[in-house]
Amino acid sequence: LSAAVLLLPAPAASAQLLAVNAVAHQSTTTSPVESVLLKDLLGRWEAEYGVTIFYESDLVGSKRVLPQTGAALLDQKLTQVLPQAELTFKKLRPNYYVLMGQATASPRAAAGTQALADVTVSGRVTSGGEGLPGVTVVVKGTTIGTSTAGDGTFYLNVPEGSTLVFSSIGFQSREVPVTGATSGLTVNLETDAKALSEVVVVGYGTLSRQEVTTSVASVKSEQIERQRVAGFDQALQGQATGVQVVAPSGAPGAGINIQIRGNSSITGGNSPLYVIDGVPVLPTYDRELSVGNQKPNPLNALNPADIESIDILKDGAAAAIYGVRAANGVVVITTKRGRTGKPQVGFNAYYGVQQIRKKLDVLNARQFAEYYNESQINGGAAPGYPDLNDLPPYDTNWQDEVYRSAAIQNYQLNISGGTDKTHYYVGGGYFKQDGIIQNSGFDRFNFKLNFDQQAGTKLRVGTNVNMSRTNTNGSVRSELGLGNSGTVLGTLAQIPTIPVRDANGAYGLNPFSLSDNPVGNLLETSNKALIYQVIGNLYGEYDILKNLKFRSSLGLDFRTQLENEFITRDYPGTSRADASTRGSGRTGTTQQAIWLWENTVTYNPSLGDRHNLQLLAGQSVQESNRFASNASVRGYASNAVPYLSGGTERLGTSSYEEEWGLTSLFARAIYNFDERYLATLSVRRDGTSRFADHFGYFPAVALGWRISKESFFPQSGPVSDLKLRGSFGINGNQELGYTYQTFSSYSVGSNYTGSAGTIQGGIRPDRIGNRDLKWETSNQYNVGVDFGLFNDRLTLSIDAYRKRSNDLLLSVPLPQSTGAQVLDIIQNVGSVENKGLEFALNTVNVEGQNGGFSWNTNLNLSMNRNKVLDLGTLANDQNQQVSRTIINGSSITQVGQPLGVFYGHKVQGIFQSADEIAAAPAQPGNPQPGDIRFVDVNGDNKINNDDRTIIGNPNPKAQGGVTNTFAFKGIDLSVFFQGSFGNDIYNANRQALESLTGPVNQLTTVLDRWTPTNTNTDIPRAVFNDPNGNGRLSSRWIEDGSYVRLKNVTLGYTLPTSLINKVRVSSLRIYVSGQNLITWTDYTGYDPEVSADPFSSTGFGRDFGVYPQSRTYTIGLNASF
Amino acid sequence: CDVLDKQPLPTIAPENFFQSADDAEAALTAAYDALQATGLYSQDLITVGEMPSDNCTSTNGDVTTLDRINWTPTTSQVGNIWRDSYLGINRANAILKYVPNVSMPTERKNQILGEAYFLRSLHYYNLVRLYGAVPLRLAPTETGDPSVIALPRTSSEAVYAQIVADLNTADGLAPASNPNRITKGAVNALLTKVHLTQRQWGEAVTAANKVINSGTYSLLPSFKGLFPAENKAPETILEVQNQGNADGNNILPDLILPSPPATYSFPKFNIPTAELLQYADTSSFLAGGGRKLNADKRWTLVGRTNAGRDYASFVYSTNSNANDNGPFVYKWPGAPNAFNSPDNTYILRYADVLLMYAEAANEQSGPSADVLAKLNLIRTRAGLEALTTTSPQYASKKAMRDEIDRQRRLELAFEGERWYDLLRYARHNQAEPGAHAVTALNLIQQNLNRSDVNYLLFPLPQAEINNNAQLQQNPGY
Repeated sequence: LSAAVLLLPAPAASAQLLAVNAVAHQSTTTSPVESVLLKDLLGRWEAEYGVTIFYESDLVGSKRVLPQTGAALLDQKLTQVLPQAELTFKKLRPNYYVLMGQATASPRAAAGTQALADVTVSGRVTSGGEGLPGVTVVVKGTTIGTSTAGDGTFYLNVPEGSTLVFSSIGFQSREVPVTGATSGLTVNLETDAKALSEVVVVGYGTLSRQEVTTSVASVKSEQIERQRVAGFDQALQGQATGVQVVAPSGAPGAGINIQIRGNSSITGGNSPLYVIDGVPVLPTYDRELSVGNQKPNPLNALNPADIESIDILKDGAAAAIYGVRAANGVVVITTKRGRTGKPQVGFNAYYGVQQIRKKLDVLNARQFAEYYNESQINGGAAPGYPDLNDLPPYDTNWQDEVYRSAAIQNYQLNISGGTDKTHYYVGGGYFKQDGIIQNSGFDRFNFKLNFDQQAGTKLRVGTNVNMSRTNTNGSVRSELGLGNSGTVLGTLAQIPTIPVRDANGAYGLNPFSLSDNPVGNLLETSNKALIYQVIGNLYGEYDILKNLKFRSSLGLDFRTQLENEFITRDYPGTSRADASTRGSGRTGTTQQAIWLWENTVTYNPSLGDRHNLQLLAGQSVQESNRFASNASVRGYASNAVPYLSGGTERLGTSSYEEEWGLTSLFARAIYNFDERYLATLSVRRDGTSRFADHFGYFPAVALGWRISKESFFPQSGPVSDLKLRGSFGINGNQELGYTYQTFSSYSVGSNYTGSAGTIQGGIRPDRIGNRDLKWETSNQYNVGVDFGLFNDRLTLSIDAYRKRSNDLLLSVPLPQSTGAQVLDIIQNVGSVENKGLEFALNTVNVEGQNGGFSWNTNLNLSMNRNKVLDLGTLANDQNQQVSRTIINGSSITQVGQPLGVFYGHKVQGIFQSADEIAAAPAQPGNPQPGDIRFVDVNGDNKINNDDRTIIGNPNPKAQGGVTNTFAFKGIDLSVFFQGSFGNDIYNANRQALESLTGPVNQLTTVLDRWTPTNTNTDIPRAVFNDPNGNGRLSSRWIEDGSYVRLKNVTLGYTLPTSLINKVRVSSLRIYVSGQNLITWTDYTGYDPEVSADPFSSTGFGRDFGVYPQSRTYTIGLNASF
Repeated sequence: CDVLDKQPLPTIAPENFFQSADDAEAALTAAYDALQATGLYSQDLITVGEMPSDNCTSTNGDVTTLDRINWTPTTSQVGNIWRDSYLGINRANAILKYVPNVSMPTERKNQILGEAYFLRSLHYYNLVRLYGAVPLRLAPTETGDPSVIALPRTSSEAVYAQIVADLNTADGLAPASNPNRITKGAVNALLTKVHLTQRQWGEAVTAANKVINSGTYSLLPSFKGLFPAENKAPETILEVQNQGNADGNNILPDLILPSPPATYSFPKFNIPTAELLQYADTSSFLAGGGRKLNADKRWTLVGRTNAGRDYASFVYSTNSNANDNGPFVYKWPGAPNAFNSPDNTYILRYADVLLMYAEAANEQSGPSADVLAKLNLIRTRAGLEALTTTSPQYASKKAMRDEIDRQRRLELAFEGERWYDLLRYARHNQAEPGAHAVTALNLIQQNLNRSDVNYLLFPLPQAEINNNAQLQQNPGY
């Protein structure tokens, strides 16, 4: 038997996800391995993988080989085994392999080394300190070899002076020369980043990165796990091009807003579709019935540590396989699975402390009293503090009272492994994040089971299950401003001259206004949202033929949500209310079950040598039922019974039920010729219950050209890979908020006195449905280029896209003469365009050899431009049809402008004299010197609503992230910067905190307010009730929201194996991590990453009482046994 | 396929409604409920009936455009009346479309249809006399089809013809007795008004006679006893039922009364003009604030005890606060209750029918014993002497007309009739110059310094013009 050089590492394309810490393994084998007949082995593999392996019988004969057990995929196994028999293989099609003789055998191998005396070598193979099982260890140029045991150890008799080759899938192979008998040899393998990023999940299948012709961004588990956040959605920020993640609130457990390639819907949903292990999940939490204003995020059900990879289908062609729900992109989440090998136990834990990133400077008691007196006197009222030398004996710093240091902790234990026939991954975790505001927080218990069983030769069955219990404590009244007991703004606005509690223990109250006591409001409120959620499926997969596979899966997304709020009798906000009405309770329940049944057939026909074709056809049915109810009471006699039964006055009860269904057919063909010319065609036909005309077709086409595979392309040049891509796809968006928008409806509540003098219930026509309604349709073109330089040490992907979303679901006002109760109707009018450029760059700056210094950089940059193209028309006052504009609070939606632009007055400085006022355009409200002069935009010489204009744009011009990872010996360091550029923020907090009009505490910036002796300023005078409207929405409140943030730094150290082996730990890494460490911004509020109304495509970018982001320091460990 | 057939569960789809007698009743209740809308009898219809006229004035910014007759397409009342009238029309149309197919006792079914015909007619009547030609919608709006939602205007003649036809149908369907709700009496009282507006004297007399000869109605002995309206049989014909916080939150009392008894102090709507008080011969109030025993019990006060409850038609408050000082309307004196008054509002009462009869009969054939008889019922209840054939008012049709006009004004002041009467008089004068001494055109002249006939109609609301390309604005706006 001649020896052959083992050609490792991993083959280019693999159809299997590989985990970072992953562990391919085999447990039973100990060294040395017995050889088997290659023919038998090949036969076994044909059956096991449902493939054809073609060879001429002479070629294989009765050759014996050492079966390799580290690999899970056939390609990998062949790559490892065939060289032993001087063979190579060619994969003609995914299920068809041809074996060939090796052209050249190593001359050295021919010499043979069997005669040399054997010595014993033992040791351990590790990666990042963790024992690596299943690593192939072969004496170079021979067939002598073994594979490592579960803890990474190996033992082998080798010829003296040999070189050992260590290789494993997903790792860079290493050669280590040995001289003489050696024990305790430690070999560290570096992960092969290139191999890891190669598999892309494209929905109902996977592709190798080289085969991808659409725009798909992939985020791997280590990028997610590095961040100390509750949900994976939050961790996506800055990790992928084209994905905008806004954590609108720092509240633990709060919903996260993700947009892929901009907002394309004006009134419909803008959230992507999430597909978790094949189960589509749409987060509708922003629209759900909820008490206590909580919007718990169902995506928090998933523990980020259980996620293997996230693939974001960005362009129309990639997403089109999800049809009517794909217009906002699709986020495909794949969780971790077990692999063959002995059980691996992983334990991960961290503990951290969160703090408010910064506090805002507000007036102290004396400064406040002076300001308030000035404002009262200027307003013609009596001063609030007649004697400034006899102020109340308090100087409360409310921010210090409300904010705290809060703990964040996470514990995660998982066990995975499997045999040839059974793979399992069982994980459990507990995550708890206290809020930096008192009495707020989030915790989660979750349980994960992924199980795969080979049942016979042709059938596989398995399950993916994620179960979770999350509890959000949302006593904080975020985003409500100060008038509604909002905590954040209420804290800033509460005046310093009152105590948290007075000497009698009663909460201090503002003597000049009805604003509450923020500490009391928090402590006297209990507002919990408890969610139990199961997301999972069962599947069976059957090989009808070797290349024809049928798969059926039954999926479920089930959630029950219980919300309970109790506000005690002592709640300061109701302290002025009638005693009999104090204390209130609300309870809300929601139960949603979404069933999914999918059947797919995949077929890989044999078309000859260079044609590769994969066909997919499938069918899917999905049905949802959601039931919600709530009830509220007030007037508790005592705090002792905090349930609805304790209240005396029933305020309201309601219940609601909603159903929708979706039936779909889909098909896809992926073809390549010689891996040079690539094409994908797909179509999905969705039938949706939401529209009267149920059915729609969503086709896509994508083409690719791998120029680097052409014969004319220089194979030895610096460019190692070059691919051009182009695609077009049509997607739909059916998220209208209200499911039954197409139906006319009658509703109750129009009561009237009957003949007998008693009130009778009346039912009236309510809403006019639109039976002609259909989904919003997005047409998206994408062109891209993928470069690999210097053997792919540098890879760069550039994408350009243009997405036009038409038939937008817009609320169109109805003529009043229709007699409709609801005077608008949803119609398909309007069109929005998003276009942009995306750059993703990965570089291996320094390649680490043998645990030496390594440095990788991942940079991404996205630029999106959003523009409204059409909003329909409306008759104006002159009875001419003009393009419609929609003014929605602080923003205007107008053709030619991006969505969300701020609309208000422009400030032209401050009036210094009566003469100046007299000469200026007339401004109502009797302006005085010190008041703001607004710009007369339309030149009619008076200032009114018609002078409002566009004063800012909340859409970033660019955003991106840079991650640098360094490793040296056992030390690893990652530094992640993330930023947003060119977006404006409407700082509505300042509208209260610099209003200078009433008994509301102010920012210290108002110390520079205009007075007759301080005229060189841009802060107006203090005057009670603001007669001039200085506080109106104007450019005064618009700030540059650009920022760069050191989002995360993690420094880890993997303890040397020699140290930890004694305590039966196979690897141990400890690390420290900091989140939101430094932020560079000109924004004056708590945090530039803010949005009070993040789910609205027209109301985002406004800072109004939003829970601030925290800065987090954590310490943690990863251990495996 | 089941998966795709998802009916709206939490709301009632039109297809699933109108299945039973209960559904028909509930739909009818909702049709009545529309009368309580802000744009109709809880506020605007009454306000528009008085503010532009010589009866009332105000400094409240919400109604000064009405007072000064410089309304525009965006004036709130112009929009509200339009909107809420069509709201009521749509509810009535739904009944008229679906109830005929509901399986239920025929008698009650017919009554319900009659009530719906009446309500639709009432809304169209309010619309046509304010806006002129309006879109005539005779079926519920149930689709977003542009040809359905944007209707052009139908001439006022055709609208009137529809109203008359519907009321005649209603006359055959409505019950004779139907406490607190629509009866044959209400149908014919409204029909009288519709004919009178069109100066169809004979038809007006015929319709009024049906009310008078029904034997159901007579005047309440005491005028003061009519207020607040609380189903004051036998005089009441139709009232809007209000029950305060429980249902039908009548805003008017808090808008027109001084504080107290009104809950809030602010410049009030619909304040009686000095001219009206003069006209009603109440001069001594104004001069000295003293007490006067007026011959006309409608315009008198007996004493100031008991928080001024001895007033009729108007109250004189001496509060030091300017907002609450002076004369105020006193026809909703029950309980202001913070914009949620339970006081009812008259749509039709018998005194109105008697006066309409007298007017129509006088126009038809001049003064007669019959006319006198009806008029004297009004006069004597008011404490005025009965007229005879020798009274100067009997001397001519014109003299009698002036007397009838005078009694209408004094009897129905503040009840939301005056401006419509003045509009009617203006049309009458256009056909017969000089018929009436004072018409809407006089007030237009006073306020706008020009006798602009365009202001005899409201403009169409801007919100309607913006969204209904089929409409052209009324001339002059």
